[in-house]
Amino acid sequence: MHPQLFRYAQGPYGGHEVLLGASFDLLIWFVLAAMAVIIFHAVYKSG
Amino acid sequence: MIVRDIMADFELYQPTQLKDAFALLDQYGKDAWKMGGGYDSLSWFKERHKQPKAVIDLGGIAEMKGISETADGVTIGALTTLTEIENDPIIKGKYRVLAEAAAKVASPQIRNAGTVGGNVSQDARCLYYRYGLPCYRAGGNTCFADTPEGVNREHALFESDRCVAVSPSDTAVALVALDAKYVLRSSKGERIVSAEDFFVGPKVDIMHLTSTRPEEILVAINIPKKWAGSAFYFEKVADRNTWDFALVNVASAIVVKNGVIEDCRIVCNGVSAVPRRLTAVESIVKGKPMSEEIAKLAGQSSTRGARPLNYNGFKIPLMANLVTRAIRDAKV
Amino acid sequence: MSDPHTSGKAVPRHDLIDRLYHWVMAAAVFILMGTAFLPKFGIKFEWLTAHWISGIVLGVIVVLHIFRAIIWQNFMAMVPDGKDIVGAWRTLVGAFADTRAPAKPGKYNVAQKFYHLGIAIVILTLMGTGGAMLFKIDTPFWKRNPYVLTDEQWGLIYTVHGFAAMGIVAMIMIHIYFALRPDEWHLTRTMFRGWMTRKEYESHHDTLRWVPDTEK
Repeated sequence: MHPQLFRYAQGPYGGHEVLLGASFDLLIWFVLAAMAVIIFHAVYKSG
Repeated sequence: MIVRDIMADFELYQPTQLKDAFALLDQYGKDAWKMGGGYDSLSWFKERHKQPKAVIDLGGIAEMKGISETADGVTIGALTTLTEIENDPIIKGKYRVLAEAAAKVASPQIRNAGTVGGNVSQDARCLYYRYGLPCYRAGGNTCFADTPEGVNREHALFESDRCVAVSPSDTAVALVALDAKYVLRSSKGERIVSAEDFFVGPKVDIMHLTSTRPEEILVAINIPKKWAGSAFYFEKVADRNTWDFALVNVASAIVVKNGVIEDCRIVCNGVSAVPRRLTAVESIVKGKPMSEEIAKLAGQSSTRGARPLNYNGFKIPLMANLVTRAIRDAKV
Repeated sequence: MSDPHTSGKAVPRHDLIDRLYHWVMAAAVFILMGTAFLPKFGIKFEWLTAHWISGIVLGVIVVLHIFRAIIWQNFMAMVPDGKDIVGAWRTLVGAFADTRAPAKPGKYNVAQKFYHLGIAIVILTLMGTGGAMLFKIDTPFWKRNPYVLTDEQWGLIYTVHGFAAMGIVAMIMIHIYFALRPDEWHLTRTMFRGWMTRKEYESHHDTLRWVPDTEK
């Protein structure tokens, strides 16, 4: 399943989509990115 | 373009045992939709505003049906129909306020299939939300009802926070007045919440009216015997006498001894996102004689702190009068 | 034991006001993160009031910090300079080929400077977008007016706020990791007690690039 980047909804006047915000499904990717930095640094420093 | 009146595809499951329903909920997670009588669900599906992947029709689960008297009071299965509640001798005899509330829900046809679990769990009836607009309750960033031009005569007087939708349930007020306990079960276990805690306002969860978690099913409602045989009152005011949601409704359970109000619970709906228990009013009337004056004072006090919107100011005198009657006219 | 302050062994690094600023900011950021994300994990509570009040507290202390940094502190101490860039390059390349040791940093090392720059951008973004969102809620001090922006503009505001909020979660994780590392502990400790030992100062810092206030 591809995570959505944004949240959209049908606009109040119909016919077009409006942007609601960022998709919080992405939070896990931010957390994983931070963990990747941390693990990389820890491994590099211990090497 | 949205195609209306034709439901989107979904997988339909009709388990006959709770454990199978829990397994399905665990399997589908947030993509699952729990359905009781279907009166709330099907309108969402037909409008295509809700498009779950899997619909779990709970209607075949026998253990969620029926009314039985216990040592502590009475247990009502969540799938018990409103008609059954309306006609049940135990409910009519000891907890009449619930029978009267059930009898006022929608229409006879709907009450024959609609369930008490569905009635208390139904979603908000704000017309903007139901129309599918991207409002706060639908996950959006605005409230279309609370605007200078918004049609908000059916909306909240109290405790609104961004969203001004109200709880539409008739049986909910009676169950809060009776201090009922809701039994929520999942594959992980069971928790029992009070009727007041079952409902949540927009401050806590702007997208849901109840605290039921996605993996949980409301399986039963327990009514303690404390209020059995009390003086009760239920009244619902709607734009028409049948098949309509309450503008304001009220339920009271009052213990009267020697003409004095010993204990009471008074609850209004249609005025906030959760059935509003009037604890301040209860404090005022406890220990006082059951009189016209006290009832009027209670009515006037009940609306303190109300913040009317552009078109729902009429609810303030309506609520005050209903609360007055809920005390003055309560009968054993 | 002699008092490190009077014996000259203590090198002051963070004034009390700056340490207070840091910890109040940390508390505000944690409340903001908790109130923002815990409800999304199913932990339901009345989050909005705590969120906007913490946001205003954070905004006020950030503005005070900016004024203090510009007027009373050495603003350039936190700005990456040429030596920092060369040092960073040597650290990066040195891991593979360059054997020359990178120059010692001044008061702040290059990683801290870039981290500060990054988190400053993220927090200012959150403050700007969050400040706009205050127009959407009623508080005891003002009434909401959601019409100051169009639906599309609000969507953009919420999108930027959301991405910045998720970004700060990642940045705080990294910050805590570095703060807890034993080889960075001498710096973390200064955020509690305000000073480091002269030995730590001389071994970790270029004493010409960072001259403590008490020694100027």
